[in-house]
Amino acid sequence: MGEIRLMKGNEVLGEAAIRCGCDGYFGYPITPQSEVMETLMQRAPWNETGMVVLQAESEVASINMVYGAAGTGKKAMTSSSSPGISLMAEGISYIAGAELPCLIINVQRGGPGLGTIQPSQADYFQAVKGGGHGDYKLIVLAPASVQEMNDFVDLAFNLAFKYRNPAMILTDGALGQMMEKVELADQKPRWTDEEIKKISGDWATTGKPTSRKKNVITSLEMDSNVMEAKNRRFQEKYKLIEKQETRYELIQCDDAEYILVAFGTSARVCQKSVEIARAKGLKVGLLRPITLFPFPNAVIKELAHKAKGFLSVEMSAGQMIEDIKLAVYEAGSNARVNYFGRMGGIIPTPGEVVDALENKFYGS
Amino acid sequence: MTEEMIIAGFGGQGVLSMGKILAYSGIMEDKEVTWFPSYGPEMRGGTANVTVILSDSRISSPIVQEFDTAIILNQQSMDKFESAVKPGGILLYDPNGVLTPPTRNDINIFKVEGTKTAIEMGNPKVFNMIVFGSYLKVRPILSLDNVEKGLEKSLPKRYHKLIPLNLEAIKKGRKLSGFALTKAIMNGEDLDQDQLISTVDREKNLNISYKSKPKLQEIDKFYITEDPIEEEKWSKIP
Amino acid sequence: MELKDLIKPENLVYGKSRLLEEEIMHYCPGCSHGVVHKILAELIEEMGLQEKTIGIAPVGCAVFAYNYIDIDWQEAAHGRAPAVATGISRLMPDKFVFSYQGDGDLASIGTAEIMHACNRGENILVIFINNGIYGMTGGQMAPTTLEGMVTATTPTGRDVARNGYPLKITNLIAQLPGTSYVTRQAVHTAASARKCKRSIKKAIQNVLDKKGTSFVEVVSTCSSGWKMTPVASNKWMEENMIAYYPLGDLKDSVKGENVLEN
Repeated sequence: MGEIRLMKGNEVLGEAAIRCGCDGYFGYPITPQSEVMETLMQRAPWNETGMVVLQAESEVASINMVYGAAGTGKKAMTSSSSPGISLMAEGISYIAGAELPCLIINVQRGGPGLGTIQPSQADYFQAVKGGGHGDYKLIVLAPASVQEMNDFVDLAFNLAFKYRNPAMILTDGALGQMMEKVELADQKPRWTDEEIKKISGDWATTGKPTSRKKNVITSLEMDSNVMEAKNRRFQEKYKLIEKQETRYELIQCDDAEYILVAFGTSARVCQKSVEIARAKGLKVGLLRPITLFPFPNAVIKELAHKAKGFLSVEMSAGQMIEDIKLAVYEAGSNARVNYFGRMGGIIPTPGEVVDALENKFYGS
Repeated sequence: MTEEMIIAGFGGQGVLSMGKILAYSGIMEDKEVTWFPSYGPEMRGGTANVTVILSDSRISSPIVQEFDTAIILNQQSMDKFESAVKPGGILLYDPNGVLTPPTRNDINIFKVEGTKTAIEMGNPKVFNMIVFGSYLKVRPILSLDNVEKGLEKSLPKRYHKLIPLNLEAIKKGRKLSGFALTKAIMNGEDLDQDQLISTVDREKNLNISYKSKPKLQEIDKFYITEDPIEEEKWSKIP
Repeated sequence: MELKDLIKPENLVYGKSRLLEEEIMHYCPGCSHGVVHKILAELIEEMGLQEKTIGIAPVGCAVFAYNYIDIDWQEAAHGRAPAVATGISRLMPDKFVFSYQGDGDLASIGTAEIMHACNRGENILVIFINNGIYGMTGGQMAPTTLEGMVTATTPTGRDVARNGYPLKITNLIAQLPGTSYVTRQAVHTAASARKCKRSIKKAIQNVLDKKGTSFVEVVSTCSSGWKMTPVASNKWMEENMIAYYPLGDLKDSVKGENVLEN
């Protein structure tokens, strides 16, 4: 059993990065995630594991530092909040195009624009549909507890390296600022040069020995036929990720007539809503997507044949609902799909969700 | 067991740290805990509040509409959270910051003279620990050992020398709310409004005899099942 | 005597660096890029740095630099090469990392990145090709375009009232305590190319000695963009570009020293 502590989600992200053997963090302060870098700076992991932590001059610079660092085959990461992630969009697209594994954390706040500093999930589209230019996908993990904030850092790096693809932890200000009991993982050593050579030797830019061809990291192609072929390969990769890495949690869905679908903070709220609804005698369950890309289409298709309806509960204007609708449509089901959410930094209350559920499905 | 509570007051009153001590003590008690602050402009002064949830099982929503307990340290928070206490729940407040006392008669209200007592102790800053002590008396969900460990864990090392003072304040707080009321209940005495404590029945102007009419099961149970061993442990506070 | 009789090792008077790839460069005739590539390849080979070197290619004419020198490369987004170099160099401090950037890349869109990388004293070499124009996109105005100079976006010549002044960014860089060696060179003559090579060699040695950022500006020609013959370009460069961007060392010190010049 690992060390147990009471920590903020943001602090845990920093701590987990050190413990999973991350090599470099590059970031820029922005509320509500500044504690990630603050924690790292206080921990000074360069003394302990050799991990580099650098405050960059901007989010634009941080993501490009991550690009460079990830290109060396090492574990590199950054974190930011919504406006900062928008600034990083170009760099993220380059990273996806050059197929570099890295971790990007978005502790979302209310938007659009400068918006608020309160929690939000309005960057769902940005995270799962690409966000920057071109056809690419991030592997998107949505933790719903401080413990998962811890666990998903290591998981994200594993997935990123397994598929040579950037991974994102999409969380929000509530989970970032919240303290919970967390069991920390034991310290893993950083990869040695030999390990990196084994894992990423055929692409990482570590300096060219005479024994191999030069490694070039680029997303540029002059020949559009080659670029199309590359894109097809990417799409195949994304399909494989969908097949192998979809993660979700079902809570009381076995006999459920209506299913709440929610991730992260709103999933926590909905857990309570399920309790309230069940106490009222309503057969309600919760589907909590853990990976947002890949989205748990298959399970929704399955549930669409059993349940009468889905309620997408979001801290946004209704983004994830589109993916739910698509899955229900593909299932050929008549199940109804509705949305309830709050925006701009407001978290829905468990009671509000139950009210919405009753209004939309029970016609009360 | 699940205890969902809110601690609310001004920034600087130790609202967040009281919650943190509570949460850490909960961890020592092997409970699941969630500590969820209001954050943002409030951090820089003005009102601050934190939701703390302790539970034996997985914690669901950090957003709580109805609290088992509210600890209120200023008027703004009273206005905001009095109505958010579950019927039968607990509201503790320090009258120093509250001009309009609470009026609900379906909850247990405890007036804790935290500030006054802290000044008497010569240490106005520990008033929040006095209120915390009172809370621990009326909701005995944490042992002294674990509260002490919680203090150690949540205070930076450089403040560890202040732990005995904090424990003393907590002990004072327990006496304020606990013993006086216990005595009152045991003896069937009328409650002294100034000294504390509870109203189950506002219409009777707080002059209730618990012996004759224990309205709320929770209170009744708690005071009658006082644990002498636990009390002894508490009394060993330096 | 036939030609084939002459091709013998003992008659060799000049050879290209083995690190220069057998690729036909896409650069226009008269362009300075090819010479600077050659110098870099030669120095990396001569100094035995192939295994230690990671180059960062920019967005601009040198975007395909990675096709020409046989070392590991990363292609950066426009202007971000110093940030990319920072990421690499921080995680592999014993490697030799250099960014290769043009004036649009370094002095316009990437101003923040170059300033801050130099100010942090990142242990990297920056090669800055200044030809006063955007070559790749078809000859638009660069921040370094001279006053009155005609480009695709300043068809009547750069008007400082509208477009501001040609930016001597190297002079700004020289004032940052993080830089150790800041110099301005050219490669339009054999002599200047030899001198430039000596400067880049010194700059590389500084990086190996962890002295902070070394910055080499190479005042260059762009015969296509300037719409001149290569020979005319060299002449025009000497008379106009070098007049405004005079050659020579702007700073030769150790990291941490604040040298105010010009």
